[in-house]
Amino acid sequence: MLPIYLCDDQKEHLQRLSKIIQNIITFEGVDMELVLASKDPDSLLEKMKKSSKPALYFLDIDLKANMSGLDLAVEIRRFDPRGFIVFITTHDEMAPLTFQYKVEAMDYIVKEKVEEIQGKIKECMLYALKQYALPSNMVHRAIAMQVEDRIVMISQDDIILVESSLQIHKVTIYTKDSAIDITSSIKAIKAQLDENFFQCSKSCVINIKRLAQIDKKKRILFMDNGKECTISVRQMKILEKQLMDSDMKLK
Amino acid sequence: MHLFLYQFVLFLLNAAILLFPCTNVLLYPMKKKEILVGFFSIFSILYFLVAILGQSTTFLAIGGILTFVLLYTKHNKILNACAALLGYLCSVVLNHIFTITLSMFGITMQMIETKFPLLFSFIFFAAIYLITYFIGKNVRKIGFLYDIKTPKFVTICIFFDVLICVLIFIFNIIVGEKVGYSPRVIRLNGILFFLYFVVTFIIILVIISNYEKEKKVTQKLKEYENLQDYTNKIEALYMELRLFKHDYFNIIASLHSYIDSENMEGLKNYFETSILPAGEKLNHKDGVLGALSYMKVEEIKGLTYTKLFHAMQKGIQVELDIKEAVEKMHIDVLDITRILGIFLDNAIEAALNSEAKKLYLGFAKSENSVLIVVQNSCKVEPIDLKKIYELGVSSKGDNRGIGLYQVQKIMGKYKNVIHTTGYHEGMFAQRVEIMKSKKCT
Repeated sequence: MLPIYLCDDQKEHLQRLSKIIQNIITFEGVDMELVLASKDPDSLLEKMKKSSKPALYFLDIDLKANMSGLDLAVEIRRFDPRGFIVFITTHDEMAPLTFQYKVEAMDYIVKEKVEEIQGKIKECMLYALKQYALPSNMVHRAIAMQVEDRIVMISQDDIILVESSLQIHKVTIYTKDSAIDITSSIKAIKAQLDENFFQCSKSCVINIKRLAQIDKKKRILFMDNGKECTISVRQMKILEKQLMDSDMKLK
Repeated sequence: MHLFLYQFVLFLLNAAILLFPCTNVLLYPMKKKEILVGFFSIFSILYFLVAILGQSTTFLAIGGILTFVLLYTKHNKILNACAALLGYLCSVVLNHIFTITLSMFGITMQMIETKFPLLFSFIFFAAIYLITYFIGKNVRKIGFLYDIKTPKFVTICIFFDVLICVLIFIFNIIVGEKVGYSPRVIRLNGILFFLYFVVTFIIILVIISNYEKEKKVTQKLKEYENLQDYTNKIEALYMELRLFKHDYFNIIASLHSYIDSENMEGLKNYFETSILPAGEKLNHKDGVLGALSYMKVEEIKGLTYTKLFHAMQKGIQVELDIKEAVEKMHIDVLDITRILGIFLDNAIEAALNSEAKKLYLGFAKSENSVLIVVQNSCKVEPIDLKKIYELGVSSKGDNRGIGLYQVQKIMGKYKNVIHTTGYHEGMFAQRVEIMKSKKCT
């Protein structure tokens, strides 16, 4: 069961949203429960701290209380890192980037778009439920890099190629649609990667699954995002052998 | 045969002594292949012409090096050529230091030239190569050198000043060779040339710093104009708000008339067609400018305002997403201003060329970091994300490549920055996350 919390300072709005959520729970028959609908952020915090389960939160940005919806969300995140936060906001207060960056908000609902509210709430609820049901072992298949106090996680499946950057002490990680320059080393990253990755040279590691084509004469590997990488004669032999072996395994 | 080989190596070394100090200190380094071509040309000039022309070949060789530098440099040719000449002057100064030091031990140039020229050349080459390599590496780190945009006339004057310095010196060597080297003459020459070198250098620095100052003044003036622009806009907005206040009472009055006549259908219609759209319009207008008040870093506020205003005037749909006061950037403000300026310029240019014409700028912060996101719509084209940063390569003209190359250089200085370049559904995105560095606090 996934608990739902709702916080809005306007009484009419609070009632309307509660009703919408209740209706969705009944009609969709989802395993959720509206645990609390309150005007007071403190009572919400008190209640959620007692529970150890991740929950779905709908928070109004402007609470007219001692804290804003954003402050409340930051506080919630400290106790429920896996929870799902959705902001209810006016056009004026909307700041998708801040919501996402600060508390990893899942989504936001714009008050002015009256006709869309119900659909959006339903969408958020179903999505949260789906994510909630997902196994948590996804985290193990990611690599983690620390820059100062921040830890950046990238899923191994997303990585196509890692190479040392033009800048000293930095590497560039290529995913399907982005290139990330980050302070780290090929050695440190290779240590975290699984057997799907192959080191072509001192400065380059590739994801074998994302290999598109090999030019044996010129010793160039083409990745499926169009990226190229050269490989030495010796490494080429090892790679070929590894590719053959994995083919055998598949058969 | 032995003598032939000996001479050959000596010429190779001499060519290297001439060429490498020049190429090492270039602001825009040449490629290895280009240097190799240059090296063999200089070598052939020396090898085949020295017998005919004597020391005058040095003129030719310097001319050759300059030609190469001018030929292979793409931007700021003259500045790069000046750097090459200064590299040569470094070598000259070092040569003097060498001969003066040796003469103190009673070793004259003639003794060296007759007994062990190869050893001397080799040691000298190693020394000058290392020194100029070190100088070049450090000079290239000075960011503002790349921003120098002195008027062409001044640049050419500087170039000729340095050139004349070099020519006089070579001339002096030739005359010195004919008269014969005496240690006292060499010492005197050395001091004179060192002085000339220093004076030239100081003059160049003064000219450049003066120019920089002037640039700063105009920059300040521009900032002031920006601010004035901003004030005017705010005033206009306030006027608009007053008008709306006036309208507001009219709206209430008209609502009242619908309610009085209990015309619910008409009321609903009126509300949806007139009141809701009016509200949205008002929201959007002050949204873009109003949000800037959250930006507390004045330099960035000014820059953002100017660039976004410029973009809006060109018909780009601008979105500014900032909802919390940003006071600190955790890296040098000048650096982040330059980076953001380059990103915004590129984004505006690309957005203009796209169909959707959209530009998005977002700032967000958390306890220990700041995130900046610049997004623009672009023509759907597969861009090799890496190539954009390699000097000169650009999907839109030359300057753009230079800009992003600069960004890379600046980012290289900071370990606490994560920079992501991405492309998603027609939008090109630059994302810079700056962590609070433990060292700074």
